[in-house]
Amino acid sequence: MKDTLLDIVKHTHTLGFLNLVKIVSDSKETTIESMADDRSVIMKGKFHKPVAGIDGTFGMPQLNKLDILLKVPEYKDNAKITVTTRDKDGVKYPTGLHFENANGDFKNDYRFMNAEIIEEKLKSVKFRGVTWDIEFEPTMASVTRLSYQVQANSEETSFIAKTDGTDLKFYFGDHSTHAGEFIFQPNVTGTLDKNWAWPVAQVLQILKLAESSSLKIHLSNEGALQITVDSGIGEYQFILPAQSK
Amino acid sequence: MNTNLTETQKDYAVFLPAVSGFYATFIGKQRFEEYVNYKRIPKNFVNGVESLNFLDPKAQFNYKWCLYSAGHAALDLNKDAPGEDMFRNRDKSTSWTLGDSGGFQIGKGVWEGDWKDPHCPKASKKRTAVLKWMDALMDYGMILDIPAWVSRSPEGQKATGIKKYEDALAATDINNQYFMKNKTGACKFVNVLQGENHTDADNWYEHMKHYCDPKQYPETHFNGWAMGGQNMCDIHLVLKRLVALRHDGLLEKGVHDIMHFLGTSKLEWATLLTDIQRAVRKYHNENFTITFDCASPFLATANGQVYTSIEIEDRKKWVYRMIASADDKKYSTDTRPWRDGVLADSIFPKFEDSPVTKGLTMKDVCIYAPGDLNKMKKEGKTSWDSFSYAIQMGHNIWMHLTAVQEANRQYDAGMIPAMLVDESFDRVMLKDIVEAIFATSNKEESEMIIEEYSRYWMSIIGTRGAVGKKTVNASTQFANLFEEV
Repeated sequence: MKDTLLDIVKHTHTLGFLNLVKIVSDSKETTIESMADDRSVIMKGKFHKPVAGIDGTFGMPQLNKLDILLKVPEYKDNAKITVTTRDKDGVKYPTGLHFENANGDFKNDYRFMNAEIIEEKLKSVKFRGVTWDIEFEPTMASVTRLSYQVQANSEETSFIAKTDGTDLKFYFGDHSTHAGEFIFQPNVTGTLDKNWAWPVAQVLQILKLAESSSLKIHLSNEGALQITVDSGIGEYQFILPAQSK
Repeated sequence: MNTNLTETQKDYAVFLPAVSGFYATFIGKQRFEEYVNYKRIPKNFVNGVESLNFLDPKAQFNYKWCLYSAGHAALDLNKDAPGEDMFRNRDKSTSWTLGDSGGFQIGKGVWEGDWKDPHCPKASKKRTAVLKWMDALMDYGMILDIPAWVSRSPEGQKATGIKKYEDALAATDINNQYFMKNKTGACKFVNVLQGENHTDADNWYEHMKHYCDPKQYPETHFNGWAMGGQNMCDIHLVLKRLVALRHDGLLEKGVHDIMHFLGTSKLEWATLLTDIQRAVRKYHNENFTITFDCASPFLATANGQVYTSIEIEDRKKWVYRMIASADDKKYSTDTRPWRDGVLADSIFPKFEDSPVTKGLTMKDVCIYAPGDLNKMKKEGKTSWDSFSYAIQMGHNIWMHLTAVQEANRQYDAGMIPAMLVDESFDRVMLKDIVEAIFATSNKEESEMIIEEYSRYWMSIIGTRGAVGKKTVNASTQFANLFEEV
């Protein structure tokens, strides 16, 4: 359970823009959804194995609190993390997580958001689908080069991705500002020729997950970017609508 | 101290105080009864409560323009409404009023009804009442638009049946058709443009522009434009739209002379809109007039604040300062002039007198003494009665108008607000770009100039909506790529 919770926090709260998730779980699968407040990132994921004991639909709010609890030294070794449930009309549904240290003298409860409220707060959305023009697995070296450009162009909140021959280039700024560009991925097939902009902070934070997960980028000339992250525990798809005025 | 702000308006874009129903009620009711006790009226108000009616040349100060909203007016003209008399018995030869339609009330769910259904009895009744009210009382009026932001207003969605942008567009169409068919011609109507991003705003414009087309509707076309949603706060979009209007033949002299910007309170925008007005007058329509409104003078007082000073410095942010006002029962016998009292007691660090406060005493505002009972027959904490609010609103109106005119005067004298000049690399001034955009009669050239400065526009921050760098966002593509399930 702890590894699953750490995985959830790592792929949501830690990124800095996903603070509320919806979990839907049954005996066959456990899925996770989240969306940034400004709709810059929509995340949908699925765990490789269904998570036991959490059947139902519920929300996980204030993930910063869960993050803290998971880092409390008291819960580092031999802690018990159990799912609390409530019985309604003969059906059990999860209401939260109970944390207890090995000695049983240090406890916390983290509450879930009930199904009705999470459905209101985080409405499910369906991706209409696009043709992915370019797909590749980025290298950590490319991510590092991206972070250099982000530092050098810290005033820029978005960058443009376009192909130049077989090179996928990222562009920061324009003729009226300080500017920068670099080859993010050479030898790509497919063409991106629209001036779609992508949010710098969100893209970089997601790409940094490549340090510990396998990661694939899908880009579409129709104005969508998807980054698929497999952590070993689950697969998360981060879809970013292009930014425009 | 300037008491004739009509005279000093010159060729500036025209600010319209969005008069609150609360304020108008005092002026109206006092004409029929002793709504405010005669002894309560400050000595410097030589025309009694009417002194606050700035539309009247005999008031403490005169300014002939304002906005009044159907959203909080008594719409039934067959019923007596003394509180509405400021507008029902307005001298149209000495004043000019733009009527707001009440679209905001629909967006917030206050005016219930199925606005998508042209036959919904509730919506039809309101639609009819608004049109009659506009035709009877207003010089210009806004059509009854349904703002696109209703899709983000849960209460609005619930009360009106408008769930998404397309619904707002369809419902506005119904209202437009009704207005076009049934208006008498006494009031001229402006076509309200909505949309929360460039894509929706472009779509809205393309869908609604025909209502202003004299070729299609020689007798009944609408007579101008009102900029709502992203149109009112995003200079990039404003300029794109103006160029489109010019080349679509929808910015013509004597036909489409008015363009109104809803809810615009920033002083920088007062000068920016003057630049645009002058450029359009110079190159295309010499009658073109930009108006813009906000309710800040009224809202400030409702929050207990008064305008104290105007700060205009070269290459700085231009502001009018508001500070929590004097409210203490100890002043109920204080006969010191208001300005002397608030400065001596360090309530304000600075205070500029207005024609409303000149001659006012501390006790004129702080009327209640300890032990006094208010209208509810209770002793409240505040020393203010409701007329204290009206007095300070009057002061705030003068201050706001003066701030707008002073900003324009200083701008003409060579000062520039920081927002309207970029000296990071070259000196880029809004005034010069606007001039270049309208100097050419070639549409593509104008559009190229606008796009050349796409990033610069983001540094010109609007009052609300997606402003600054947030004008680049995911909302358009999110709507294209996703659907709610």
